[in-house]
Amino acid sequence: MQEKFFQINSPQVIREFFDDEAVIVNLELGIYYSLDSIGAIVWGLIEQGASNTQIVEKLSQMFKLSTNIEKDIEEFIDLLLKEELIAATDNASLTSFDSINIDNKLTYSKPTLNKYTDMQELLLLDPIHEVDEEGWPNIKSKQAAK
Amino acid sequence: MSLMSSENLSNAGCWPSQTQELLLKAILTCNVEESINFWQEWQKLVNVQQLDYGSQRLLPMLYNKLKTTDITHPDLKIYKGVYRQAWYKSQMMLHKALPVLQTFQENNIKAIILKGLALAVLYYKDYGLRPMSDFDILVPIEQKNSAIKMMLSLGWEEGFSWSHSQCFTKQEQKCDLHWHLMSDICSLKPNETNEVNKEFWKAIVPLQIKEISAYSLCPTDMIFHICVHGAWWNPVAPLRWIVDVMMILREPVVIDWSRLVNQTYKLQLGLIIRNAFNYLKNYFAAPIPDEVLKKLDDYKPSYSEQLDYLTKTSPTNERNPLAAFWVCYREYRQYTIGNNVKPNFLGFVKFLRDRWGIEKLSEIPLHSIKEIWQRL
Repeated sequence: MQEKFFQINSPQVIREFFDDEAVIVNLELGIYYSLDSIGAIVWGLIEQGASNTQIVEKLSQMFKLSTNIEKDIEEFIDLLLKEELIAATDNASLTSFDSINIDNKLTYSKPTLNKYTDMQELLLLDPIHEVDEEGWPNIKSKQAAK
Repeated sequence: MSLMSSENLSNAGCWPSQTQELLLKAILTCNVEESINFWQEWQKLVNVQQLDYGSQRLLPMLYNKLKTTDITHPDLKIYKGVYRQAWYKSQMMLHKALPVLQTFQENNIKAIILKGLALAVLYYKDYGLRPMSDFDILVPIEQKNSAIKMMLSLGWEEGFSWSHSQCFTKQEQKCDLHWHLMSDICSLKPNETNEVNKEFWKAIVPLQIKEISAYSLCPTDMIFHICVHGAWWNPVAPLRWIVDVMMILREPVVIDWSRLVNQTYKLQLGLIIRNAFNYLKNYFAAPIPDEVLKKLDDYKPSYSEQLDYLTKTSPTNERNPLAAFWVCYREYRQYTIGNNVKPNFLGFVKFLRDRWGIEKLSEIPLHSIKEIWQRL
């Protein structure tokens, strides 16, 4: 795996951590992304300036992994690049990792990115009556709504 | 029975109902166990699917409180969803607000951020905890016209104009541009208006929003402003103002109570401030000094203030038609003073048209009759 570095596409891309998930928003387009726990950790490492190889190394240490997760991480980073949430950079800024607290019960799984594109729908969606049991922004299926 | 007794407040449009008070206590009580107990009591009485909008707006704060406990309940995911949406909406709103603030900054227009946005930055410290549907900016009255021109140049469209502010919209985002802090200032004589405005501006504090340097009202004036705007009848139960004030009082800030009482007397807002403060003290143990409450107890409201207060704390469809008309006329007089225009009959009729959202002036007589008939 060739080592590559990245930077967040701020200021148009912002991030917030809600417990163990990360929420990313592209402010210009209003697109809302939700990253699962592992995705949130990867994002946090990218924010700290970690390269792709450093991310793989760090996750393998954190979860004591024996299997190779390079492909998972590469695909996930490619997705973030494709969505223009991050961009490749030549600058290697990482000096040391801030410690990341994780739930003891958390196990490794391939990081995922959920995308919600309809800004109007997101803004207008009733966060109590029109959502499923996971809450906004997950829309209740039409069948469940009946 | 006092205006403020819990039994009398079940018309959850001016003061919280007993059920809503449980929610407020769950949020505001510092003791975790008590907070959970209040939440559980509230849970027994409500169905989250039928929650009133006023309570719904407090769900992010409720989630923030409960997430640190061992509570697991399916409704927590709903509360979290409301919190996420509030955060998202605030971010999208901020994205529209920052260019306005930046333009003002670059053109030396001092801007005070009012209400929700200032509270979110300074006291809630989390954009998701304090849902807001618009942002409010106060500029010096002498810069009002320049500020309006800048808003228009940034693509904002003018909406309704009050005595003290102008609404703007852009791609469904709303902004209220103020040149007086509140409409009540426009009831004063011109030299008194200037004096009151200067007092507010003298005490402002810096407020940083991302790269923008703006201002906020000082904590004392913010409490005053919140109570004056909060404790009226509203179709959406006005619960937020209670949490807003308590969030300020819990910060290590200095409140100039003498100043607040003086402003209350000057602006003849003693009834609303007295009742708001007594409510906060009695129901939420707000740290309001007894001597302040005593000074407010000594306040003697004028007849017009009493009429105004009784009208505005009643549901709109229960207001005495003459009293409701009086409130409209008073708002019109404030509008003429605030916008420096001469009052006249046609101006008043046009004001009613805009206030009632009617298209044609000719519809006003019929609409007036309808309003009166509904109240009889």
